[in-house]
Amino acid sequence: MSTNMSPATTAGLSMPARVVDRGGLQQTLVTLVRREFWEHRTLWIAPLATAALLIVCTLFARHMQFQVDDVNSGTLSARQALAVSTIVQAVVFMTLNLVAALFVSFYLVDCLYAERRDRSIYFWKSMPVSDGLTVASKVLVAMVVVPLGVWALAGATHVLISLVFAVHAALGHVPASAVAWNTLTWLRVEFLLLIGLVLGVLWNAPITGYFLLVSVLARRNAVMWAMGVPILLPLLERIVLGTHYVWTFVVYRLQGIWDILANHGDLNFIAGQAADKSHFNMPPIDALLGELNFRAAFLAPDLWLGLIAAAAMIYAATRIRRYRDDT
Amino acid sequence: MAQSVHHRVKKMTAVIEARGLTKAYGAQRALDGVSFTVQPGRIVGLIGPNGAGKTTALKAILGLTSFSGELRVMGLDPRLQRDALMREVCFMADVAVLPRWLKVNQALDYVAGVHPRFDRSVAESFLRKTDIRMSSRVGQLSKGMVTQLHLALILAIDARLLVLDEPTLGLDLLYRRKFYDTLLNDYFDKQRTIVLTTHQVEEVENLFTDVIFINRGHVALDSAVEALGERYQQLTVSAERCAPARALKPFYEHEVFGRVAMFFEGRTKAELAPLGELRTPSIADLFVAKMQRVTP
Repeated sequence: MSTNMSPATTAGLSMPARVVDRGGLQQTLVTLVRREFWEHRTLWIAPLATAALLIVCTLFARHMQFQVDDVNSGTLSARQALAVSTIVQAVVFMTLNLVAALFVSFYLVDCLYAERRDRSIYFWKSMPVSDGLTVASKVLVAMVVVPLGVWALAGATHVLISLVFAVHAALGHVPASAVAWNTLTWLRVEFLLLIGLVLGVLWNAPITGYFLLVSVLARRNAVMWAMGVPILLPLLERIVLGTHYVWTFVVYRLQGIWDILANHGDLNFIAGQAADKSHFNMPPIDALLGELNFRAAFLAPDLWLGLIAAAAMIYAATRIRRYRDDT
Repeated sequence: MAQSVHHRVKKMTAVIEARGLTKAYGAQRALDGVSFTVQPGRIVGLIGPNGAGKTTALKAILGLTSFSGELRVMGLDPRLQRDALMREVCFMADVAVLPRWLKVNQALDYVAGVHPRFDRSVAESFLRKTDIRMSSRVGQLSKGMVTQLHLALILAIDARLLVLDEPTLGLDLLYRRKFYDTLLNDYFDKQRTIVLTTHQVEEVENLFTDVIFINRGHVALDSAVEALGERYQQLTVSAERCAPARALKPFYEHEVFGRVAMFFEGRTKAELAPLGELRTPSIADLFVAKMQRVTP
């Protein structure tokens, strides 16, 4: 397909292979990533459907009221309204992320297992695509494409939700004072969420690696192995030894980073407190930023140890796919 | 100049060179020191009973399995240079390895995206001659149509070596015929090489230029088809005239309707012709004869 008629080719000399390869590598990677979304359609359908559901909900939320302590939704100040908007922004983001994380998990467990189950691995392997590139494309989907896509989708969803609220206010469904918009604040929150997203993806990298490893190893019931081990092992420990180290470890690897980010406090608690303390008078982002320690989080040894473990597991998955011969 | 080019082409190295290929699954040896050579521009039939080691040999050639021994495919080591090798080699393992969720146009997009030697228009023009619709999913196609789709993809890839492992298994006769006709007419030329395994030897024996029989991990026969007539003879004699023929030591014989078909290796026409009806055995008959001898 790449018929670049350079003087070199017309003269009957083949182009240097490396020149062809560089453009080819990018094209190959894009094709491989597209392929993943063809096979695993839930990866984009599920977040989109959830976003659509959230928007539809706001369409019908004509009489929404809330009362937190002495803050009433009917009598919000402009700052308080902005704080509410920021909270909605974060909640939309977290909701979509939770949905995406669930489907990405199933995707990871399936991606190197399904191709052996339906023997399509013979087709994929008949193409000039290395195992390294194949596994890389799956890691890229799980750790970059879907998270960034969900981040963008969450931002767009929040804009639409805000618009719907503006229309509600214009029609008199909600008090005009309850609706606020500040582009700078919105952008700051989006940026904060993005940093948090990067942190979360990096922290969860060992889980990505573990799921890929299970996917490439499992002879059957890959999901059982992936989800069963982290649940049954702690249970077994509890019954046999009466301890709960494994469970503590599993929970730590799932969400320990947020404790580190919150200076070893509970992030949700701090976020709630931040909103509470300010009586919504200050955008919670400002209250929150003072409590967070991104430096400590990104420099946490456990984050980097996790990344090394993830790299090792992803590399192992690549090597195993190379010579796996049981189809 | 022309002379030297001609000389170079003649000296071109073999497409596949295997020496002492060995692969064991546990205690069982799927390949036990297998050696063979495949020259360019040939259509080689790799023939053997189930579990003989054919598929293992193909997997080794394609770098899909580990093995010991020496193996060069297109001058490359399939163990270490698999990615480079797959630009030159195309393969179709069995039928229906295309995933059910894949749409026909996605299949074309995919191969176009990853294979530098894929010519989409070739695949599209082949598909136009079939009943396959671009928007169909593989899961909606019949087995024959899936094979046609896979064949369309392969025809559009300019590869030097095509490896086919039972490509028509489970297809009806019409699809099988069409498959091999297309392969021979639209794909094969003297620059390309095809290695093919199949159970249905009778159907494709006219296709082969070379045959390699594999049994129990060993090469039982490796010959150009045109040389078979020189090496092997099938003599049919009536039952009562068996003794003089038997004295020439046939390696296999079987009785049909009171007559005995005997298979000889390395006997001359002059020795055998007076004893009965002499002909060159078909590949299928030779296969049965060879396998019976190895497996008493």
